[in-house]
Amino acid sequence: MRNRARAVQRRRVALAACGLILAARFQPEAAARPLDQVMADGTLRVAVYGDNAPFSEDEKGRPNGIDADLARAIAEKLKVKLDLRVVDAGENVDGDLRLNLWRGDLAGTPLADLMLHVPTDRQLALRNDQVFFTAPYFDQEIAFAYRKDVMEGLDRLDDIGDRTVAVEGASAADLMLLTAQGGRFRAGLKHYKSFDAAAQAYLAGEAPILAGTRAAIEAALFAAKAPRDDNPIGTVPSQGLVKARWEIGGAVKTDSRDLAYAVADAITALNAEGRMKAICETYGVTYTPPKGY
Amino acid sequence: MRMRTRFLGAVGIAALVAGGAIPALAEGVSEQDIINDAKTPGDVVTYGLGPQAQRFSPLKTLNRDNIKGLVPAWSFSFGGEKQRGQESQALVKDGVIYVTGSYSRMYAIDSHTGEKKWEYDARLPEGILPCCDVVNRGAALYKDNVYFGTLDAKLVALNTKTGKVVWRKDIDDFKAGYSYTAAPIIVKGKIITGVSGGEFGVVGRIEARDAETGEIVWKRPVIEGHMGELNGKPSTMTGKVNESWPGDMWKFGGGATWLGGTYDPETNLIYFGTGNPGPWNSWLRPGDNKWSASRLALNPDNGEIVWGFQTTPHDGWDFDGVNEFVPFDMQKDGKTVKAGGTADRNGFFYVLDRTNGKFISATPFVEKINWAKGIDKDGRPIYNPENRPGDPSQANADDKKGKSVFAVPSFLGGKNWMPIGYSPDTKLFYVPSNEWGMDIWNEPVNYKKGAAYLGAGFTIKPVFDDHIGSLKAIDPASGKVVWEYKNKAPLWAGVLTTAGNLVFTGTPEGFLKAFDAKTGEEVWKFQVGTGVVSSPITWEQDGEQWVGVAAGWGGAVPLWGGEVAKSTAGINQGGSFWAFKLPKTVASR
Repeated sequence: MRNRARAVQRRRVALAACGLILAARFQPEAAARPLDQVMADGTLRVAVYGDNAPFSEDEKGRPNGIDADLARAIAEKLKVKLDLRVVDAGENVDGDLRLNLWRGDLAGTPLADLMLHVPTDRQLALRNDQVFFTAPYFDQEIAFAYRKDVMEGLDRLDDIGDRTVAVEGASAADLMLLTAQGGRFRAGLKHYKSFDAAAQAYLAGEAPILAGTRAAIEAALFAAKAPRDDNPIGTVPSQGLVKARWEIGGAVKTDSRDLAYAVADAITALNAEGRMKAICETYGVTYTPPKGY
Repeated sequence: MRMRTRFLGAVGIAALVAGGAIPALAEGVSEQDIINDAKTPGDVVTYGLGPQAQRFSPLKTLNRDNIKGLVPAWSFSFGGEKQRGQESQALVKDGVIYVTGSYSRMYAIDSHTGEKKWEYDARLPEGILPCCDVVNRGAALYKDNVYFGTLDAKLVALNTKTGKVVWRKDIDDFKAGYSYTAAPIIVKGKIITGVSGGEFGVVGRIEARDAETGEIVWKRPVIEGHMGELNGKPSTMTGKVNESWPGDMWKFGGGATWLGGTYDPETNLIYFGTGNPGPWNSWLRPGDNKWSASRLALNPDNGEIVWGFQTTPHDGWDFDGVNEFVPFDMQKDGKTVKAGGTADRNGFFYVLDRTNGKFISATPFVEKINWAKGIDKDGRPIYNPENRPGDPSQANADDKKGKSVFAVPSFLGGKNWMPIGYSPDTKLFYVPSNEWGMDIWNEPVNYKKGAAYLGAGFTIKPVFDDHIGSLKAIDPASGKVVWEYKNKAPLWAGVLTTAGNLVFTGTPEGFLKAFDAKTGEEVWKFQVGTGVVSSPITWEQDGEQWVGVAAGWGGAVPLWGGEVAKSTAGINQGGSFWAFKLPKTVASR
């Protein structure tokens, strides 16, 4: 690999001078880097998603959320500065890996060294051999919040019956409900453009059930100070082709495995120190470590 | 203002045109210039060589006997590293060529010498995510402005003399997945655009703005249940809620109108195509899902839908209905029918009555179509249920893929974006088509923004061993394929046809080719050094006939890969505009 540390500095100056460089696609200084280059440069470039609360969102110019805090803690452990960038999600994660870690985007934006919130999935890893996945750090699952005064409990889809469910369109929870039991729940679904909008509708009483990931539901209830006793959270067994549970971790470019290992070590240490739990609690989220932790 | 444009529109239809050599008026491109574009070979002021987009030039100078003398006059480079993906059709007016480049650029070039007069580079934000390459398909001219859309979903009006920005408006938010690549059209002083974008929540719509100010006049969402807008107030609803969609799924029904439209001054209708419905799997949205995968005819004054025709009701194969609808007059049984022709993604060539959308005929224009057995007398597909991608609600959780089907054509379509042409001389349509199918299945190992997602998995496969591309001449009255030219690589360039009995198109292999319009015999070719994926034009200048085409390999084919990519391996990048002419000395021989 070529030594790019100085080139990166030069590029920064150029970027500051002209605001935007479009022609730099595939230029070496924009590449993702192994550990020694990150250490030599003194800066770790981390990509997190925008509009992905409680994990990451751009709040008045400062990225906020579990993934943002985790990125800060990882940089601290590696004793490097953090260059945290919020990226828009593309059509799928494969495309995000391509844009942010190995090929770059059409505008020639510099690549990130590490991307967080990447599902740890063997099939996904196999078809994306340009990247290497770190150990997972969080266990995601589809869950439901429901109004205790409306229903007894929710631990199977049948408990939903004909009730209205607020859900983000085209989310995992939506697809599970759309495909379950030959479409039995379709008529009761109330779709929203974002999870946040679905949560607001639930909190405003427009639907007695809110579907989403457990972390997002917990964070929404926490932020609204909605009592958990009145709004219990239930989960259901996996349905059909749609996954009800998946793990998330990080990813680096395939030639930067040593960086992935260093990141994994940092996360293990943060976990042992209780930092992961503390970060999650800031947002009202129960830390659910992947199995094996 | 409105009175004046109405008046001009009425005059335009009746006006006689004295020929191509009218001296330029100070006010640039008028309403009449646009309406009469197909009859004035001295300029090309519209996308499609006329608002009907027949891509037919009345120029006869160049013909199969003298085309050997057609030689390059100059070549213009799109410069730098941004060469790929040149899909633009150029415009010519008063000795200036206006051509858009990939990465949202516009060039004004001296049409005699090929020298650059000015260049406009849109500043693209970091992190834009255009789905299908960095292309732009062309510009629109009106008065002293030249208009085009950018990859970050902005519409820009530039002064034709200086290239300076007159106005710039957001079509939508690029961060939400919107983009703009089509050529806008000008109708009665309004600039008409659709939207490009496939994210959740996107519903296709057609918009009209005052061309001089960029302010919105009307908006027409294409999916039922959504409210239109006229002069800042809600107008009428498109269709009726839940007529053809279950639950609230119409709210995010797709139908992106990403390819632009055509206009017929005779019926005073704008024709626009609409994209596929969402979510992709049809089993999740029982019903016809109107007006996805359709052609719509709109009143340009208020954006009301006059008629709609759905080519693929309840689409399950990603057959966008965006392909252009080309008005033409058809002689059938001794009568003249005001018809329109369109070559759909789904592999069928449709002829409709353009006044009311009534179905006239549909015939296959690619081979081995298997998603439908045919189209019935009412214009509805006779589906092959076994070739509809599987129902995920019936799939078993242990089933890794869900059921996979092989469907023809592939979702890239029997014909993709590249425009067809129609010759009133030969009475034939010229359709750049592709013979390919796809394996398609529900792919459970799919993630979006780090979360599980049930996407489509697909592999595109050629139907024949020796070719994918196929330029066909189709008789709209009989639906018969009159001649065919086969090309190894997929065809991705538009068509031009002339009164000199010629048909032009480009190939990914780098040739601009000319064919005998009646027989399909290849009569001329020229290698431009990179793939041609744009629409050629022709015009008359100083008594000589010129032909122009943008060159620069790119577009969606190289991005989708698979077996198809093998047919295009080794094609070099490049980015230029080529101008050819038939010198007077040769023409007079």
